[in-house]
Amino acid sequence: MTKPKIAISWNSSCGGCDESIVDIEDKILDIAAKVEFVLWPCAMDFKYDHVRALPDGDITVSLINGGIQNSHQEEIARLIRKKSKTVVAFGACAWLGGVPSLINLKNKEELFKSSYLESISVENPRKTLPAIKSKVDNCTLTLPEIYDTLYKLDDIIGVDYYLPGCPPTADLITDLFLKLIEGGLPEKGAVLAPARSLCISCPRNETKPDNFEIDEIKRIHEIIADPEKCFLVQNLLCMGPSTRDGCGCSCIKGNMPCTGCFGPADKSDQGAKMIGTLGSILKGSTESEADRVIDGIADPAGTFYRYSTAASMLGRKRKEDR
Amino acid sequence: MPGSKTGDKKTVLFLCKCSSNISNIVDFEEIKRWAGEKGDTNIAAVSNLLCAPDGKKFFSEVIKKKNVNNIIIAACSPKLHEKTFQDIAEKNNINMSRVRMANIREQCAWVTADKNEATEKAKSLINAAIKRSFLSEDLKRRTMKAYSDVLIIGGGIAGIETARTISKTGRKVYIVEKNITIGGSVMKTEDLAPSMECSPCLMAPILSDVRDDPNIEVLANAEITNILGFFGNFNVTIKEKPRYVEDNCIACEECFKVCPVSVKNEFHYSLGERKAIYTLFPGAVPASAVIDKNICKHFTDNSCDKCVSVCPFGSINFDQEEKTTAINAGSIVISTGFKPGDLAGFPELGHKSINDVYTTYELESLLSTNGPTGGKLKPDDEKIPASAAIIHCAGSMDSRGIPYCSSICCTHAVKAGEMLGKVYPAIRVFNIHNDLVFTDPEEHQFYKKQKAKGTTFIKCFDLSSIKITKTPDDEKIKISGYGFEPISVDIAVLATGFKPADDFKELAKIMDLALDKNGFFRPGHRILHTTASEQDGIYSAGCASKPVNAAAACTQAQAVAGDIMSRLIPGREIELEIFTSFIDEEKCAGCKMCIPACPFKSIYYDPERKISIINEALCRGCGTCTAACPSGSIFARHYTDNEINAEIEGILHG
Ligand code: SF4
Ligand code: SF4
Ligand code: SF4
Ligand code: SF4
Ligand code: SF4
Repeated sequence: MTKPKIAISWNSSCGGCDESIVDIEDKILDIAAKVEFVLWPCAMDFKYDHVRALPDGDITVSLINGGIQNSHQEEIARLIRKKSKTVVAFGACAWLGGVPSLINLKNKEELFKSSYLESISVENPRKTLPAIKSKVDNCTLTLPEIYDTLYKLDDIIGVDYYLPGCPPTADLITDLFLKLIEGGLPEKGAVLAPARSLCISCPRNETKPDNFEIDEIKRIHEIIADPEKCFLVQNLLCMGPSTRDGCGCSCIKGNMPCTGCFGPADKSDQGAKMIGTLGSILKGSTESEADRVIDGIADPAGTFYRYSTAASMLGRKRKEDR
Repeated sequence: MPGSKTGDKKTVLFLCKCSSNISNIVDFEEIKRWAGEKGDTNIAAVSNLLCAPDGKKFFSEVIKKKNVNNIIIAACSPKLHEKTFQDIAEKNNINMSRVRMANIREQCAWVTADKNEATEKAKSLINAAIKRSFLSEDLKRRTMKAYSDVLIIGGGIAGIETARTISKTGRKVYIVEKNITIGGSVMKTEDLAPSMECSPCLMAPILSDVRDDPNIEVLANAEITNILGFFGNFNVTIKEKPRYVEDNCIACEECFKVCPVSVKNEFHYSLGERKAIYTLFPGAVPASAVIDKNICKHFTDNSCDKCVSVCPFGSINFDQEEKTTAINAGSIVISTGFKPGDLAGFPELGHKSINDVYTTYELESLLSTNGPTGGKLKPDDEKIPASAAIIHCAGSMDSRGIPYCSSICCTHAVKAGEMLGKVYPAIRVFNIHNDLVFTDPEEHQFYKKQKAKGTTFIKCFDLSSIKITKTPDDEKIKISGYGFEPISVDIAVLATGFKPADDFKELAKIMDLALDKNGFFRPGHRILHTTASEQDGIYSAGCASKPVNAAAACTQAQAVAGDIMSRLIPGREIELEIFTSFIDEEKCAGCKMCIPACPFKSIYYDPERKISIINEALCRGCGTCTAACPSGSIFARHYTDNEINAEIEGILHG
């Protein structure tokens, strides 16, 4: 029997997802023995032409991490889709846009300005900005086109499975490989983690009263968090209620509230759901009282949509010319 | 096949002209053409006036003959006739949820004169209704047997009268009283004005009736901790505090004699004393004594158990515990009584700082033969007061105290003179007043009689100018004020008003009721239904919604009883909400965030299954929880996200 062919590819991501595959430790060697890698830019030296040369649908499964923000990423994603039987959106960025998709709250111009002109670590006296074509000493250099919007993977290509997490956990990755090799993947379109919210696994849920109210929102550095009590009860925003289960409560066990990297528990808008649920516990019988409590949320977009701006109802900042 | 897009449902679109109200503006020919082209409805039936008898007949015939099972009606607002058509559909075995209206009158024809605009908008709204209708599911009508038992909060004269009236029909009535026995304020006075009937004599047989009535259960020393539900289906939780004395106590008072601890008796406005083990008055219901844990030496330093050894019935039980009882009732009556106005904000009136200055309540208590002093102002002091001044409106109609007129206190003030005259026949009485408020001819007659007996009524135009003073050298109390010559008297009596009892706020919160600006329960209607509250099935009697006298309290009690008995027929079924919400148990993570969101307290957490559950007998289908559930695990029947999204889709992509 020929070994299943696997491709791993990255887009707008931090490299953490690739790292997490290596992090499954000795199991990676077992897996490597059972599969054939045909592309893994981060870890192995394959050329895209190798992939181009493969017959369509030849790759058993491709794990693609990162959202799509430039023309090169789009081209490679489309290529891989054509060559693969199954595509997995690997990690929060591929599934929902991830942290990089917070850029959708700005425009490309603002991005360039801040990254290439204003950032304190940048020295750019000639104010050079990335361009698709630039002339240098009679040569023309080309760069991929950077898009105004960061797209989640399934905005660009068809995706068969979604593996949540920033990054996905070693257990989920190992499980995915096992199912790829031995079978047992669910119906296509599935998110490969339980469709319930994190509170169900959280050891702190038992400390959450049936009925409670918070009259202030604090940030984690402002108090010494009790290591056993539900964070919400301690006036700390925890995204657990609107976040999918499956991470093993990594952050919570480290006494940090969940920031939501496992995405929504169902197809809904994760941030909106969290805002909706806060409505039931935030105190505020008068408008000014409510305003005071809400003002405690220092960075609403970064709190509620840290990993899912591209997938949210907001999608992106309104385009002026529309 | 036409209408293949409708799947297995045969869909009819009714278009109603509303005479010409709609068809004048909306182009019906165009709508019919468009609907035919779209092809997701099978029939388009036009009626001139669908809600008229002819129209209804036509409606009924079409759905019957054509074997339709999905109905869209483009007509007026669903508020007007959705139910009409749902009922006809149900008669034809079509579930009510299959009938949906598109409002092309109020929202189209009546908001523009532009025919094109109106027609296009009508298409959008009809399309939305069609798209949504394909997702709707059959809904079940649900009923439950109404509870016909009644719960009464407050065992004063109003609560007792309500209970006695209702219990005669064989219904179970519960009286929850926060004090240790029922009876309330009427037990604190000897005479009820204006008839001056002996109050304890009036109450004694009533109290023993209650005690012996198998249908009335008194839960005294108790408070309400939670109320769920609605008319016909209330679930009430009651906390009964321990008495430390068992029910077999007959109040023989043997223990009172040996108990070494005394404390001021709050029942008599702290005028007399009581022991750590006590009752409020002889013949109380329940009869058994109560031990005041805060002062009893068994509890404070474990140094006494004298009552144990003298009690002939072995009734003392220091180990009694708090008891929580749950009761299902069909109706609730609030008869929580009142609290006398206090004078803390009125130092110029000398109450508590000058001897011989009393409130009317204190005076009544002192002059009662069963009161703390056996019916004398000062039992040890043989001095007989020669004169008394009675100040009307003391602490009332003044923002420092009670901002309103209680309408009771003028009669109390007149009664104070009458009571003083009975004990001290030679006393001279001065009533100082501005307004004089009497609520019926008898009260007015009472006043006239008092005047005829020689009481001087002094008019003072500004009662806030009244000052009551007494220097150490003075024998007498001096009363001065605007518009009259100062007078000197032996005693002064302050006629204070009625305030809402302390627990009104807490009760209002538990029952989700509003209080009025004076702090009383707001009645259902100021004229038509003064004994109803703003919530169906919750009534008020006595001083719950405004100050009333004992006679009015009894009338209200009987009115409430009649109201309840006419509506709460044993065995009658009540309809429950159809559009309830439900939780997908597979998805629910038990995060409990929906629980505080529910305004009707219908959701609870099941710690064993680690999920939350909606009690659908209590759910009113408001949908709040569906928005609050952070994992999308709650669905509002008939208003699911999918249905609403389909509707929006239908509008946006007509
Ligand atoms: S809100 Fe956060 S801390 Fe609280 S139970 Fe849920 S996941 Fe745990
Ligand atoms: S606790 Fe939340 S943020 Fe942390 S890993 Fe789990 S899902 Fe991600
Ligand atoms: S035990 Fe308590 S109630 Fe009984 S006699 Fe002693 S102090 Fe009084
Ligand atoms: S819909 Fe939800 S919030 Fe509303 S009454 Fe029912 S359970 Fe409570
Ligand atoms: S909010 Fe949703 S997930 Fe949380 S307990 Fe309620 S139904 Fe369950």
